[in-house]
Amino acid sequence: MHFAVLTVVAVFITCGVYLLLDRTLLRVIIGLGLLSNGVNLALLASGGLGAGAAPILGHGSAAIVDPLPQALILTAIVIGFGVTALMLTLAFASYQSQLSDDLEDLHGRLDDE
Amino acid sequence: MNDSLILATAVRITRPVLFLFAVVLFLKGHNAPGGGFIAGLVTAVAVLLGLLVHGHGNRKTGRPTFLYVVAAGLGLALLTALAPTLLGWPFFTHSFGFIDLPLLGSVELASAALFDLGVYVVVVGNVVTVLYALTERR
Amino acid sequence: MMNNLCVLPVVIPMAAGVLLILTHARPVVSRAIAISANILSLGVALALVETVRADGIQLLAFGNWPAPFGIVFTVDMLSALMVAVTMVVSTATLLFASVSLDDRLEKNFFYPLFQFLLMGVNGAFLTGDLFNLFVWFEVLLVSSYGLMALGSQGYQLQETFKYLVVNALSSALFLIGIALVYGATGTLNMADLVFKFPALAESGMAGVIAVIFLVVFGIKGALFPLYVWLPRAYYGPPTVISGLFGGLLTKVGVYALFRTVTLFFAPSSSFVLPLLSFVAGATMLLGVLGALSQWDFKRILSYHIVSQIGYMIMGLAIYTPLALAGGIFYIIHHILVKTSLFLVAGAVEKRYGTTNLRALGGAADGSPLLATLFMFAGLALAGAPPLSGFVAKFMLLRSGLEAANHVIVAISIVVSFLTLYSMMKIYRYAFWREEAETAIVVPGEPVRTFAIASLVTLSLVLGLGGALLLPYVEIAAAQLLDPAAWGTAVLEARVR
Repeated sequence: MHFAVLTVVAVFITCGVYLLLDRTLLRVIIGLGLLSNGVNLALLASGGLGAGAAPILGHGSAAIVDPLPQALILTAIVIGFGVTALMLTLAFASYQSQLSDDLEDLHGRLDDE
Repeated sequence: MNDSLILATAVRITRPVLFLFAVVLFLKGHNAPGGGFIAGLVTAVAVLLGLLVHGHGNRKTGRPTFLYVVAAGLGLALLTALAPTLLGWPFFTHSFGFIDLPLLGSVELASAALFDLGVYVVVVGNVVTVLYALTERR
Repeated sequence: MMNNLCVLPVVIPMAAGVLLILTHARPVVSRAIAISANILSLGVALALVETVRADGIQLLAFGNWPAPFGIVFTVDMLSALMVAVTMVVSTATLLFASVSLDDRLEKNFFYPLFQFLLMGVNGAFLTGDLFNLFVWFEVLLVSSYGLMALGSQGYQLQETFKYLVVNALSSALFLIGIALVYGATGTLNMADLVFKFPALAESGMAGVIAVIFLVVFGIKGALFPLYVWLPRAYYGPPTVISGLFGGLLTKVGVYALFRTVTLFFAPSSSFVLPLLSFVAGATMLLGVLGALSQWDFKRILSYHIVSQIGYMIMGLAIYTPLALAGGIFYIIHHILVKTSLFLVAGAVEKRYGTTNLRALGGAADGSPLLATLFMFAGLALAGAPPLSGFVAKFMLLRSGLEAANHVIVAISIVVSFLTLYSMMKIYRYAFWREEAETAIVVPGEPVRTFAIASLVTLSLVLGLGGALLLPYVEIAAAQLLDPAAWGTAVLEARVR
């Protein structure tokens, strides 16, 4: 069980990093999304995984899993949601002002020394 | 936006259901899966569906108005968290009690629900603001 | 000691932020609300410092849940001092901003973002929970993204995007670190971790976690070799905002390093301190070399942020009571002085319309007071007596010599001279020569000068009267070096 989850984490993070290295803004954003999903899964695994158990007491099932990682993930997802929305807005705004979503084109438009 | 009769009809039916579902989720939230956050997201989806069908229309002022909603929600949540400090309890301490209502019987009233209401309002305001910002044509 | 005072430095900016969203279209009202909220928080912060000095560590268990189970705010001397200095510089910055920013920017949610930023910074200083630290970091980062993109110039947008990606990456690493800590120890409460973390040393897990957190806080605090995002990012936004970022944001990363290294990493992994020592030297040297190659007021200052962070980490790496006290003194000195230097750059920019040293000149003729203030602040940055930088550097050098760490002492002395050279370069090109023709008189100059002067005066006071701050800094260092006492105090505090 742990091995399967960790494999998924590894795949998510690998794909995320690959996309992150792309020069297209949109792919960078998707890459960060994948990366943070992989991290959230890792966080889930940190509390121990119980097959078929819910993080809720007193609803008939005797098996429960640690609810704390779930609270942490919820927080991380909310933050990730906000950051992704912000990144999309930024990418959109910079596309509108520069008519390109390629970081290479955007680079060095303003002369730096 | 394209006028699609099928989408418009489907949305007209699903929107009330979504709003009701949000209410159910919110009330369930105290002891079971649900709560202000997810209820807020469901409500925001209902708003998004409306946006898909009707477009922005002439509601140019959508963004700041919903930011005021965010402010109201934050304020409510903050006040709920601050209230116990007036009585000398630590910040965020919650309290609850039971009252008897006609028809419903004994109902639990918890101060955490007020906080959750604040969360709900913040989420709705926030998500709708984001949707407006991302869909409006500048 | 349970004390609701602990949470006020977070609550006041949040309440002010909420109000300021409502009044965002009215700059005059917004200024009044923001400045009074800041002064109120400053009062609370000073009260906290005094309370900690008199009664020891202060605590607040949120929702009355005791320490290992609920989230606690733990205020020791370091936290209290950091909050206090944060409120001092942010009040000066706010005063400066209220007479300098465009009406358009002010209405575009500058004040709410500013207050939410302060809320995040203060929360990060006060919290006693690892995950909560992550959350406060995100609060301050999200606000900083908004502030950094304020005005939406093309250059700003792309730099903000890069800044955002770098920070999102470090946040993902932060979460991986948290997952490892939770998986290995079953707790995220820092006080609880003080006792549970050393057990990980045998399996080598402690070292892995230490490295991850060093990278995370190294990115946020702009340490070698992870500082590359900083100079370009801090060039983009309006200078007031760069000033606040330059003074405060990286220091939150440095604070997190001070906190976590003294609590967990130094006692459990032997490689941490030598590594930090190397990083400190490299950060100092490469930062100042970067500054020497620049010809722009703001860019030079940005590279000096990096260089100066090396000194703070030097204090941490030497790890004696005197060195830590010196490091903390340095952080406080640096926040005051760096912000005042950026504000001078902002005032010069207001007057001449540029920060390019080649286009500037003669500012000393136009505004002698500004030139004098810059001279004092620049000398303080380089560490000349009798300013605050001298006291801080003296403590660091002495502790370095006592610890027989001669290499880092030598590097820090060389870097001090290079810093002085770099400040002289700014003075020579921006303030001497003939006055540039572009000089215009912009309203609000007295307020701007007052804001800068108050920070420079504080630096002078801390330099001449170093003995005023020393007792506080020494308490902070002593508390940092005794994590077990800190942990016990937090865990054994009774809830009501």
